[in-house]
Amino acid sequence: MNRLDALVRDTLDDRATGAPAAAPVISRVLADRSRRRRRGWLAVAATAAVTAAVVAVGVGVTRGPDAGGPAGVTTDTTDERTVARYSVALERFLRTSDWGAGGVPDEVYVTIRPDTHAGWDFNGHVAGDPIPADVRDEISERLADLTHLNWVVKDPTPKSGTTSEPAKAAVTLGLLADGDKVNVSVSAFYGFDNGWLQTYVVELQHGSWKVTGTDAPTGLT
Amino acid sequence: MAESDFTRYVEARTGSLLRLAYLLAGDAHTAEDLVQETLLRAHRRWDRVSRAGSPDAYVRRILINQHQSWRRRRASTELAVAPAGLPDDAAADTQESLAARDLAWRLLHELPAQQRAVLVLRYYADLRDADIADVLGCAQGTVRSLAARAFAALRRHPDLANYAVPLPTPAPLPEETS
Repeated sequence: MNRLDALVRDTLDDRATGAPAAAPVISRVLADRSRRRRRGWLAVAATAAVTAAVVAVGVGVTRGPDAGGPAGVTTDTTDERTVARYSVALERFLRTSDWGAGGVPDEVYVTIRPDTHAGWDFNGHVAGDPIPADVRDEISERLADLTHLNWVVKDPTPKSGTTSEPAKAAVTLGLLADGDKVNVSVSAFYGFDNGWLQTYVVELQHGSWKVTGTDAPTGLT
Repeated sequence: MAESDFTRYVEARTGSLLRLAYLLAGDAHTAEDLVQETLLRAHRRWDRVSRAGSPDAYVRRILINQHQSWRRRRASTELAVAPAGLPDDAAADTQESLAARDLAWRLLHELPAQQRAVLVLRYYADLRDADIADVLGCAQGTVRSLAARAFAALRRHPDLANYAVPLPTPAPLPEETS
């Protein structure tokens, strides 16, 4: 009897020969890479010029109540550990949650303040300090291939009633403890009254952070 | 950033990435766009990619994610995959096996993106399930489940119903507890 895996292997080996030639793509990537680098430097230069102008005229930069760093000052260090731990947990959560037929939504709202129990109301919950802007940016970048993260002050999803608006996915992260093995909670609300919570065990293994298990019970309404 | 490292990587690996992208996407133009976008994304974070120890694994992950993201966004307008040209040595093959491969190629592109990715990574890229899980960001059990569902879907076609399904791979140590 023929084997299906052998057929799949043969089919893929055959068809791979129809792949396009590499040379044009190599040329385009290397050329585009150079253009993007130049644009990057221009952007940096422009930002520096604007910042200098603002400082020169003594205008303070106002800061919203939930902005990441001190007024007008760019946070100069990214907390890599925070980024890594939140990123792996959030990615696992987004990939494994049941978002319905459409899969992971193209856009997910994430509350900038982490929260005890990730906002889940187990005998009350308390919001922590906002996740710094540079940490948020880095998490967004790491998950950019999966979805677009919109960092928001307040969960925009309605919890009751009806609306004709498309369902929005809102996520809240839990507070992070210190250490190389931590629990990271993530909760989501999607549509009306659809909420779920998961707590992942995230560990530093061989230099990289991985989800190695789950811990707290999953809440489901 | 080691620009020369990135250049060397692009020159050495673009061909391989294009073959992978072509098998995932099913057409040459999409494969080119996919690889170009993947490499430019990798370039933006090349410091991290090169620190990762295995740039291939990291870049493949970007490519797979990008493909799934594109596929999701284009799902409503996606057209059926046109049969690709046959390889030059096709004449040497029997008509029967050619027909089976044509059919398998068409059915592979009707599978959900993740199921197809598992088969491509396992049977073309020869990755172990643990590595596929790493690329897809899921558990090894999920990889095995996706592969099983993919084979079940292929066998639902009457012309493939008599093909034997592959033996399951041994289960690894549990990755998650709940």
